Amino acid sequence: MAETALTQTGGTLARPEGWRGIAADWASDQRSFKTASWGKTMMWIFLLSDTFIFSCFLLSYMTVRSSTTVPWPNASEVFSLHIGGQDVPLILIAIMTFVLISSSGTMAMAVNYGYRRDRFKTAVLMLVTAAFGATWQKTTMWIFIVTDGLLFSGLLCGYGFLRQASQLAWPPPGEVFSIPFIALMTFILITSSATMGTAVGASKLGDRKTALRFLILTIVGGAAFLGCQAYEWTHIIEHGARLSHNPWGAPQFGQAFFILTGFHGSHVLSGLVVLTITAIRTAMGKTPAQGVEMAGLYWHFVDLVWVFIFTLFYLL
Amino acid sequence: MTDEAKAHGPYRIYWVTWGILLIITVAMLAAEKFHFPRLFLVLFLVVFMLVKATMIGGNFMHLRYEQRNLAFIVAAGLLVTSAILFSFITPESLSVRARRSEPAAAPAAPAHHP
Repeated sequence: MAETALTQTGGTLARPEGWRGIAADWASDQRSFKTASWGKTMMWIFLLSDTFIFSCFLLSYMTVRSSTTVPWPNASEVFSLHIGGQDVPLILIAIMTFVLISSSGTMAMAVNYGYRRDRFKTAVLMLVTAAFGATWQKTTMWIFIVTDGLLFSGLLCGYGFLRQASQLAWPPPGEVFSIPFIALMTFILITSSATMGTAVGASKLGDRKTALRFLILTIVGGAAFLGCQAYEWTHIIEHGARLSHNPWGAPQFGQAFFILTGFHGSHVLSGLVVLTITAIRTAMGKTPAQGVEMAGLYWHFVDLVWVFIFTLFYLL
Repeated sequence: MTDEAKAHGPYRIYWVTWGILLIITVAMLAAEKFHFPRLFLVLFLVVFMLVKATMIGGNFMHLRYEQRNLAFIVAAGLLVTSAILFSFITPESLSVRARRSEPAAAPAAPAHHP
């Protein structure tokens, strides 16, 4: 399957440039996404579905926030640090954002270097291949399944908490949610599954040493971000915030905070594991450029999610 | 990677993007300091949040160099989903708020700060 997907579509007609290419892709009686590899398409589908989940988190947070009857805590005060005898608002969050943006930059460079040097035409087996007998694509699929499973568990836990914590009778879902909406969501999901059958990428290659260097920088950045988040959590917990209550106001605030940042943090952690494996394999000369690119896509996605959490949770 | 990007050095785009993201982030943090009207602040932050997201998607995740089709699918999926979520959840959350505000006028109702 991987061989089929990675084969160049030799013999097919050249695709027109720009917007005409979109029409040509769907109208030319052949596969769409001809120049996208199976792995890249898979990663984009995962990112899309993961974005849906984060959208749900952010929207449920906004719903909780806008519907609560007690004042919402001031993020500038809650997330301030005591430095040099005075409170500096949002300083830790600003540092975390900076670190994450920087690591996204180094990751993008790692992808680029990977592209420039990698001359291995044949598929190289992963470290994990030896352990699990899985191909890179299959491993990616498993990473997807595991992380998505974690996310959905979290989503259900969050729902359970909100339901448990609600003082009012929990409304019947049929009245709260629009069933056509659920059906449409399902439709979108199926549509995204249909895009699975898309194919083919051409790998340009890159400088392995520099790729490794920037991968390590990315890992360091990610670890630093995670460390900051661990500190922030400790800070907040020491001030008495719990899932069920917090000293600043609406009890839902704690839930929204822990669940949103917790899941983002678990994404960062997953990304670090992927990056570490990618770095080790790059050092061994075993990572095809595509492998680095998959890890990169995931990492940028973690950054992308943070942009939203940062704005909607911390700033608004 | 386009020929144009190669001509300007392969990594320049990442660091230019990084710089712009940094500037926007600083601007967003600074906006908090000024006492803008709430609506303006929200609009400002949301617009720049979307600009940042677009830059990360386009430049870091290479969406602008990908086949248009791939970028189109991702964008359309996100737009449709956010439109649906927004249009269904916003009226609901506003009506919940309105419903909670009503009993606050009654003497037995719990404390309420709009």
